[in-house]
Amino acid sequence: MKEFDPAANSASIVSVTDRVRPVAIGAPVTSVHFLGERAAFVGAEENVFLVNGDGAISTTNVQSGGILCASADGARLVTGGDDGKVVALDAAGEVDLVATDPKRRWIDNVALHPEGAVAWSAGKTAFVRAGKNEEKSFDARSTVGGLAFAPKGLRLAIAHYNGVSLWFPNMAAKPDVLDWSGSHLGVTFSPDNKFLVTAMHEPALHGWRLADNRHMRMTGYPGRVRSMSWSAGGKALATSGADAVIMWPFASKDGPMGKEPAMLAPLQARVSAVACHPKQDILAPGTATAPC
Amino acid sequence: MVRMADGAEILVHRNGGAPVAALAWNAKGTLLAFAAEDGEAGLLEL
Repeated sequence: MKEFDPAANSASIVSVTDRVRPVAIGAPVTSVHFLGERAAFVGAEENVFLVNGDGAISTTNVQSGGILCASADGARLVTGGDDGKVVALDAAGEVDLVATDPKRRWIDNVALHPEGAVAWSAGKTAFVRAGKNEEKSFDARSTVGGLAFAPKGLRLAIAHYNGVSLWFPNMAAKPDVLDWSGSHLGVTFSPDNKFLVTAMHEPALHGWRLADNRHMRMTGYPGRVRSMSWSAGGKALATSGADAVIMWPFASKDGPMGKEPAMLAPLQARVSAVACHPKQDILAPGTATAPC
Repeated sequence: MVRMADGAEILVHRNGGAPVAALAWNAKGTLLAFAAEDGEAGLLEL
């Protein structure tokens, strides 16, 4: 396939299923990332499966128990597990131990900074390590639900109950807190650093415009939003959680304030995952029964 | 896959049962990887 080319005037959906190289991982998978040209399928327990373009699978052990979280930036994949360890895997398949929680608590969340820093959380505590420096920690007001680095500067968003703390690990100042009632789980900055969005335990997103902390309520989902993906250039945020892909507009300075989301690909099943193409205005949704 | 401009769709994979748990593009946008919760996975080269 050279380009996105659905047939015009066709009643049936074009299929490229015969061009897919099937890969049998043989174990439950929770996420996938690219490390160089290899796809890294993260297993629910112990292993990451690196798969090259020919479909050859190289199994790499990263944790000694369940893998609870993973984050990647193209060069590194960092995972956290119920063995209390934070582990980095590089594109060559080399495994490096980043940290071991002194109390062997579960590592619930990990995040990567584009310039190399790694963040993780165990219980209420978030940790950041930049380079070979000693890690720094911050105790949130409740269990950490999600972590994300801002695209600029060393600033970490820590989602928790009733809001998000924005922490500058290299500054003595107290973190800024963005308040909103409820339990906040996934968290993401817009690529232009102007908006912060959380996926909540209830079926809704909550957003803040960072310039003035204006709230954006993004509701109407029949199910919890477990997958969020920014479109190329950050013009829209694609989300799972409904029987169509819900796309919130972020191209204007007001973001989705006062706007309705676009609904793409009305499907016969609940959308379970979304991934926007990095350059073109194309996205891939996956569903509970039939992705397209 | 779905084109954002008009919602046109292309079917990549019809899975048997388990929900799709994982999706990712490579940085160049030439490869799409996907996996269901049960480990049934695939790669599509564009």
